[in-house]
Amino acid sequence: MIRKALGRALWGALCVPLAAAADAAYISQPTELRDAPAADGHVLQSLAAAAAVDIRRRQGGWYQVQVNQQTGWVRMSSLRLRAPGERAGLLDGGRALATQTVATTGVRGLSGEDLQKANPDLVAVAALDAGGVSAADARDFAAQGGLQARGPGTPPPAPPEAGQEQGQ
Amino acid sequence: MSRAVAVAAMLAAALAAAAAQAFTLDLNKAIGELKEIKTVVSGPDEREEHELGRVAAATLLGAARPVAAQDVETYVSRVGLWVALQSERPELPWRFAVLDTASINAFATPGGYVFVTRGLLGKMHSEAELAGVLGHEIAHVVLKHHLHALRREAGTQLLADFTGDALAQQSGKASIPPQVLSAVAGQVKTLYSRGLDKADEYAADRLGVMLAARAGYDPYGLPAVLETLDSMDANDGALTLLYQTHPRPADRLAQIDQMRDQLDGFGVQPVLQDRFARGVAGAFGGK
Repeated sequence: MIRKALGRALWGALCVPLAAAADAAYISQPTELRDAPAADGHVLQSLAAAAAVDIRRRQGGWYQVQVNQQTGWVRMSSLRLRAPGERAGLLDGGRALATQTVATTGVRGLSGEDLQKANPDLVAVAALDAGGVSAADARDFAAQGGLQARGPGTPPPAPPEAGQEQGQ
Repeated sequence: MSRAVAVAAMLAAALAAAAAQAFTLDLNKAIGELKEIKTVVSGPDEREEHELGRVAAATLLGAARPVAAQDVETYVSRVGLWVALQSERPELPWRFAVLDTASINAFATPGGYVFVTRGLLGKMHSEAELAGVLGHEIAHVVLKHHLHALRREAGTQLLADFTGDALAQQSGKASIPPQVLSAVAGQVKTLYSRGLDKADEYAADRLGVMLAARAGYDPYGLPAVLETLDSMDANDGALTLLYQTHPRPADRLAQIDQMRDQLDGFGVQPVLQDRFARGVAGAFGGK
């Protein structure tokens, strides 16, 4: 019981549920829907490019999605949060964006022109220099979040357990 | 020995040899990358780096003020310093701030100043995403991308004059002549409007995700942010400067995806969604 509750709390810390309502996404290249967030997960069905899916959550490089009444996992790199070709094509067409008018409503932006006009503010830098946090503070903060430093030489841990779906 | 057993033994030996070869390749690659970083870090002139970084930070702060919320700056500084402590330059005087602008961007300057805009913070879902973005910026500092670009562009004489003047100012003997400061700031403005080489951006992505992973975060935070940016209208004015200076998110995602085996080796690590929401609320009118 306690273990299950703990598992649930841990799951919440490890996994990103997206918006409350499922987010629409699209398959960007042919891929497989798998029963676990791992390359050796059992294949539930093949997904064609441009197939629409609903995102449930993300775990590492995998999204849990629902498609055709089936829930499973697809690799992040095979999924886009926009429909194919939906985004305005100026950038994709390779034309310069530099001529675009900045249309951010009512709020000051930070454009290339703003940078060109900027007067170096050395006083603001001095204020920044005077602040900052200590290394000890950063380490305490990391520990509070359950973050463990993994040095470059640290051997990788066991791969994630397949089918960690309890409590959902 | 039966034939089946002999075949199995040969197969096992072949597999072991292949695994050993793959490991050696990985090791050689890792050592090569480490050497590269070592030579980058042990460059001679940290003082010049710091002074140039101060002018670059001053220029960015002249274009956008930091958010007034001290608790947000402290939160971002804790995440940033924790990630920077996992880097090859933990001893730098790292400083982090949130710029009060709706534009979506992040910046690093030589010497360890790192900025993220309120606009970009508002597109993130978790501390792992913040750690990934800060990791990318920290990587620019560790690999000295802006420093090298400024040295290439500004010319030796200007930098020698500038560093000499900056030192004289510190010892109270003189101040930096306005024309020297303005010339250096001009180089900074050009560089930060035009951007670094694409290769530098991809290198910062690769090291950035590794730094976030070494700090114990889900390594896919930066890719998650890039996916969000990829889903936005590319003509959104808030993205103009970012897109003038960086490769397209889709191209960056494809590059990072080549590291999938390395990243998946870290297993499932925390994303800290709730702590992020609490930590940055002050930048968006929350408490």
